[in-house]
Order: sequence, then structure tokens, then C-alpha cells
Amino acid sequence: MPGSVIQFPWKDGSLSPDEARERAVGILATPQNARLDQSSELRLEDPEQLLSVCELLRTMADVEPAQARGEAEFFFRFLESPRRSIGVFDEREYYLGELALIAGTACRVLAKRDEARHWFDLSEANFVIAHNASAHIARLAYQRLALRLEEREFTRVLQLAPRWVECFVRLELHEDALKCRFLEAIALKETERPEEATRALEQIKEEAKTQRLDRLAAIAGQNLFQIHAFSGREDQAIAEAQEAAAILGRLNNRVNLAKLQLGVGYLLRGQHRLAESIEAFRVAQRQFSEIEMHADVASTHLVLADLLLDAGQPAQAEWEIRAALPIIDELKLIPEGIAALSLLRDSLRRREIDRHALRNLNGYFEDLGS
Amino acid sequence: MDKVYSKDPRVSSILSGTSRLVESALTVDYGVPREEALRLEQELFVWFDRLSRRPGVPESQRGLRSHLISMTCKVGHVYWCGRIGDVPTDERVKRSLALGPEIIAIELEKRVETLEDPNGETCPAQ
Repeated sequence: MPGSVIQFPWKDGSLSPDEARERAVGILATPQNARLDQSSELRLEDPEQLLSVCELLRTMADVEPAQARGEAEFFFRFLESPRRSIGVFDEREYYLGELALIAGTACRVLAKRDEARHWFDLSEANFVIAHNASAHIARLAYQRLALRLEEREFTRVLQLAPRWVECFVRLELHEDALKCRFLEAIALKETERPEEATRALEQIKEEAKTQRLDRLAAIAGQNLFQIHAFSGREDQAIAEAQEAAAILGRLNNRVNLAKLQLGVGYLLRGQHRLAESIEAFRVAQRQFSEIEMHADVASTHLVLADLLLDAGQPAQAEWEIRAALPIIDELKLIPEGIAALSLLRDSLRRREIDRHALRNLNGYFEDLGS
Repeated sequence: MDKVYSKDPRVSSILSGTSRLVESALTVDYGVPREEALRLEQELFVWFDRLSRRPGVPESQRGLRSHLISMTCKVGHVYWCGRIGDVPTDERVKRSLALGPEIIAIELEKRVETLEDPNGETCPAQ
């Protein structure tokens, strides 16, 4: 078509990427019921706008995961039923797959694991018929692997992560490859291989910085902070924490800021500064509670109980445990934790807390940080 | 000289470098009438601009371009699948439909690479 001019549609009335982003922010600020009433004015089916909505929701999952989950579900249901024709070619399947992936990821962060798996299945059923399916299925595999890590299936993670790293490299998805290496590093950390974990995290941090992936660099730093804190390397721990906090604060990444605050509690506990440590854990707990990360709230109750026993306050410790138990029950958190949980229940019934059971249970709540 | 508009210079560069190939694939390899091909081409370019902003797309220009070529072939193939009872008479179109969009996409990519690098040297990923 020599000499012809191909104009992009936003030249004749469709939304440009900038307009779409601005409108997407407005849509997310509109209550969901009102959105449905104004769906044509808001152009909820506009593919350019949906692209911006997905981008905003991915960021929201680090700030307010419960809200991100609710919004992703809203848009998924809206597109799915009644069946709406979205954009051109594979766009309907892509957006359904992407929204389900975002909902599943947010559920994973919230420790709603069965629900996360359900969303991942829905995502797969759509991605598999979208263009570039192999890349999207690989992205989904990363989330499933992260879920396995949270369920403490470390051997499986260590087996699978290097294979997915290779897939991501071949697909030219270097950020995803780095995220997969991150899962491997955390599995090393959790399997008592701190030196290997430290080396891996340092490499990830450096590569993330080179690729200007600030979020990933900060989360690697946050994990290095924890390793240094547990190993008594206070200066290194503090330096990592300060660097990570500056980035996470700038990104308003509330999920990882709360995890960083938890690390501060561990650092202070390692320094035998009991009262300050308890206060630091309480601050972290409030932060988790504000963003509805109930599993982390429960885990912090157990850490506090342990500390309060050290401080000679068994009644308060018992209160902390009692506060954690319903959450653990409701979220059916970790199958292996159930034994420890029933042991703890028995010991509470006898009004005598079993420290071993308490620590066993708390061990299953170690945070992932990705 | 074709003009294409996208805010992303990488996308603009791919679109201006491949618009003739896309048009030729649709009209010659798949025998799509010119007017229809023009409409499909525009849809392909709009789709591709959005695709480039999805997560999960390759970082190199070459990798990204392969998605445009691949979708062009799928669109050409589906064009005939939707015309029930209408059988192409052109031998080249018959060949494209018989081989399937994946094989035609590979051929088209080789064609672009040959145009870019007539000496057959390997094109490094960007």
C-alpha cells in the first residue's frame, strides 16, 4: 500500500493510551454498582481502557490486595457474562486470562489458597486460547510455584524453579526469569542453606538494579535483611533494610513494607531488646491488618506470644494465641501445621502453653516476600 | 512510504518495517481482497500496539515482530475458514491454507530477515 497513511484509531475518536489510563483511574474510583449502571458511558468494554485497568490492578495487588482481588473479579465477571465481544482477535480471552491471574495473585498474597488455585484454573482456560499462550501459561506457572513455596513445598520448588527460569529466558522474559530465581533463593533460605540463599539474592538484586526493576531489587534486599538479621550481621541488615524501605516507600508497596517491618521485629529480638521488638511486631501486625493480610496477622500473634512468654507474661501470650487460632482455622492455612495447632489447643486447655508446638506452628508462617 | 502512529518507537519501527509484508501476506499469500486486507491490516496494527504493552511479550524487536507476523497469518487463515463453501482458486492461497499459519509465519519471518540481512548473517536480538 505505498503512499497510504495508516492512522491509529484514537485519531478518529477512540481512546489514546493516556486517555484510557486517566479514565481507568476514574472507573476504579467509581463504586462497582454505579459502574454497571453507567457501563456504556464508562466504556467498560474498551480494550485500551481494559489494558490500563489491568496495569493499575497489578500495582494495586502490592498496595491493597483485597481490593485488587475484588476489582479483578468485577471486571472478569463483567466480561464473561453476558458474553461480551472485546476488541479484536484474542483480546477477550487475553483480558479474561489476565484478570483471573490478577485475582489469583491477590488471593495468594491474602493466603486464600484454594481461591487462588480456582482463579489460576480460570486464567489458564482463557490464556490457552489467547495469542502468545506459552508466555502466559509460563507466567501462570510462576504464580503456582509461588503458591507451592508458601505451602512450604521447598523440594518441589527447588526442582521446578530452574526449569521455569530456562523457559522464561528462552521466551525473552527476563524479569519473570529473575522472579523465578527469587523463588529458588527463598526455598534455599527456608531449607537452612543461608549462604547459597544470600549469594542468589545478592545476584538477583544486582541484576534487578541493572534492569531497573526496583520492586524486585527491594524485595531481594528485604530478604537479605532478614538473613543478615537472623545471622546477627546487624550493620549489613540495617543497610539492606534502609535501602529496601526507601524503594518500597516510594512505590507505596504496603505488602512488602509490612514484611520489612516484621524483619525489624526479628532484628530487635535478636538484639534482646524485647519491649522494642514487641512494639515493632505490633506495628507490622497493624500494617498487615490494614491490608487484610489475615494469615500474616495470625502469624504475628504467634510470634508475639512467644516473645510475651520470654517477657514473663503468659496470660498475654495466651490471649495472642487465642486471637490467632480462629484465623488459622478459617484460612485452613497449612496442613502440616494442623498437628501443631491441635497440640497447642490441648496445651491451652490445660492452661499451660507448649512452646515447642507454638514455635512449630509459627514456623509454617514464614513469609515469602515475593 | 507508509506512516504509522504509535507512541512506542519500537512498535512504530516494527509497523513501518513490516507493513508491506503484512499487506502482501494478506493479499498474495491469503488472497484477501485489497479493501478487506486494508481493514484487517488496520486492526492488526491496533491489536499489535496493545499487544506490545501486555506483560509476557519478548523484549527484543525481532521477538516482538514475530507476534505481528504470526497473527497476520492466523487472520489470513481464519478469513478463509469463515467463508464456508468458498474455495480459493489461487494456487498460492491453496498452499498457504494447506501448510497452515505457523509454517507460513516462519516463511514470512525468513523473508523479512533476508530483506534486512541479504548476506544471511545472523541478526542479533535487540
